[in-house]
Amino acid sequence: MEISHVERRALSQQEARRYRLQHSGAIAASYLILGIACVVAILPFLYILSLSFKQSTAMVTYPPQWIPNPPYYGNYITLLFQKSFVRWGLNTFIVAGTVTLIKLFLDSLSGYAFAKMEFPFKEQIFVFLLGTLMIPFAATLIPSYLIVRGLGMHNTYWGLILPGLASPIGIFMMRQFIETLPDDLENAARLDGCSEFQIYRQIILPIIMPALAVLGIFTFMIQWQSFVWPLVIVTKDEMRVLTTGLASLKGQWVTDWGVIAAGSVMMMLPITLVFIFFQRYFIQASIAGAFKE
Amino acid sequence: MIGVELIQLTKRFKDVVAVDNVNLAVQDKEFLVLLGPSGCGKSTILRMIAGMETITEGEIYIGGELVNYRAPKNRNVAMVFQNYALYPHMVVNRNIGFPLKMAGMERNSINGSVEKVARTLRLEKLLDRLPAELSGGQRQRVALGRATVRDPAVFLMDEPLSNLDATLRVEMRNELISLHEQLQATMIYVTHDQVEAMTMGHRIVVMNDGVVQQIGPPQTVYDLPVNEFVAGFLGSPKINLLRGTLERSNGDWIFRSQSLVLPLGSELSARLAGIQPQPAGSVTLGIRPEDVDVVSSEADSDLRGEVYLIEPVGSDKYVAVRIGEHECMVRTSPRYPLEKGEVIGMNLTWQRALIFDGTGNNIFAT
Repeated sequence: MEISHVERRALSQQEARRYRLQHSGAIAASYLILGIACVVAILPFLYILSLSFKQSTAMVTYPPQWIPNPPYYGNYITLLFQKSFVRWGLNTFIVAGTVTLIKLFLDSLSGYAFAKMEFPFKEQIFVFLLGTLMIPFAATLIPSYLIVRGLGMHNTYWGLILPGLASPIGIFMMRQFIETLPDDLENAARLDGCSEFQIYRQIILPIIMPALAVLGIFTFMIQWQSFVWPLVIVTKDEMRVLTTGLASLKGQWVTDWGVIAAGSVMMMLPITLVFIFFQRYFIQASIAGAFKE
Repeated sequence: MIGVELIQLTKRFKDVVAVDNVNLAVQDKEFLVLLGPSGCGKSTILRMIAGMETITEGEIYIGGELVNYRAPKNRNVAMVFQNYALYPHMVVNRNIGFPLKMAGMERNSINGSVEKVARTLRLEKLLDRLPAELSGGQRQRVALGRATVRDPAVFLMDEPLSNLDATLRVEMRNELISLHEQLQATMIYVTHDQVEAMTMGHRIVVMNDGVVQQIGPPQTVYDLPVNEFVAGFLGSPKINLLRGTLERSNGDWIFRSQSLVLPLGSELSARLAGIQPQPAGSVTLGIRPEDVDVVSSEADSDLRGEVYLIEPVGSDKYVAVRIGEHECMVRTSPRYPLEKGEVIGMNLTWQRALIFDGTGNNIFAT
């Protein structure tokens, strides 16, 4: 039986309504799941934030007071003026910043060499480098300590920085990204008069900015949160970084959790700023349009 | 004066011979086109001239100087790439001026040169744009600008129009021809597009499997291809190749196949008479679609066949005809009334017919 034009139209409208309903249902479900995930992720931070504005005595009250009223700023004042927090923050910034900058330079340079240059045993060397990822940190801790101490670098910035540079994951990441760039880009630069280093500096480096931003954020975050190595190599209070400094606030008998919470909140701030500053690179399609589409 | 000279140039990638003993002299200010199917070695030759590929054997001279061991930047060549290879983070102005900056030129001089090139290529209004903000044709013009700005001795172009749509390709083709006339530079142009080769090149070099098949002016190569490959590669629709034997009967030449006995006509017979040694045995008769005239089936004609496919393309009508075991493509007027299944007569323009011997070589070209 043949259906009329009007019936066919009604059927297609029904189908469109059904699609819209299903579609909006899927969107609502996505929002719900993402909302739960957000709450789970942010709740510990909110708890620490709340804790940092409470006096130690108010921490154990029941029911717990989520929004301290009135807020107590004493924890922050203690942290900033009675402890070495500023010095630890500066140390952490120097160490994390230096490691990040040096690592970005070395990893991008090595990544460029592995991706675009030809040299003997290239693949074997790369596999060997990647293989070092399999060695657990615990296995290298003591040898690294002995080497760094042997070099007289314990309780120094270089003692904190150097071991952080020796990780091939950044080289791997850079190599994978640079490999996707067309060879003709370097060929064009070569014909335009660039040396290999100029190709790296003037052409490759600006293009791989998004990947460098990602690597930079990861490296900075790892260094910012690094705990075991600074704990091992630094014994002087003035050379402590934030993680070990905050841990040192935990007393044997009494611990002022409010001060530690305030320290944790302040420790989170720079990393949040770094992310906000670099996040645009994540979505920047830097080479769009330079090549055929 | 010779602009670029290749002597016994060979390139091997492990066991694969990409370029096999190529000898070529490109005259100064010549527009030479390297033409061939994908993988025939034409781009490899270009890359070896540019210095981006090592040379397995042979020598390359640019302006009379051996450049085998010179870095690309010291060869005084510029290249336009198939994928443009523009620097994505630089605006048009910086892209074009980059070679001059690398040469250590001052900012003011760079700006002057860039503006001059931009005027020639109609890029003045686009100088502050990034490559991503340009259309395909504009990007191609920027790539040309970057190549022309430093006034190189030789321009190398690797299929520069292949990413453009058909209309833009025709437009850019004409622009490239004008640019060559304006610059009076030596240009070596790689393409697999026979129309580009025929319309742009002073001479074309047809290549296959790394070997140069024929070098000559486009019309000469088209009219007198040295072998079946060249004959087949040039021309659209492809040349008709009819396999058979050549016999002589009572002084006249006859082409014979399973279903065909075809007297070759007086003009072709006269041309054959001058060939030494006289051809015999298996041959291939080559006749281009435009050299076949369709006539009524009742009329006196060289061949008769049945139409099995009609392709109207606007300006022409391509008609596929079955003649016994042979299939033949014919080009007719778009308004010629034809039906599928119709039997038609065909007359051949014998003076333009080609005969290839058993090894595929054109007996008239040797």
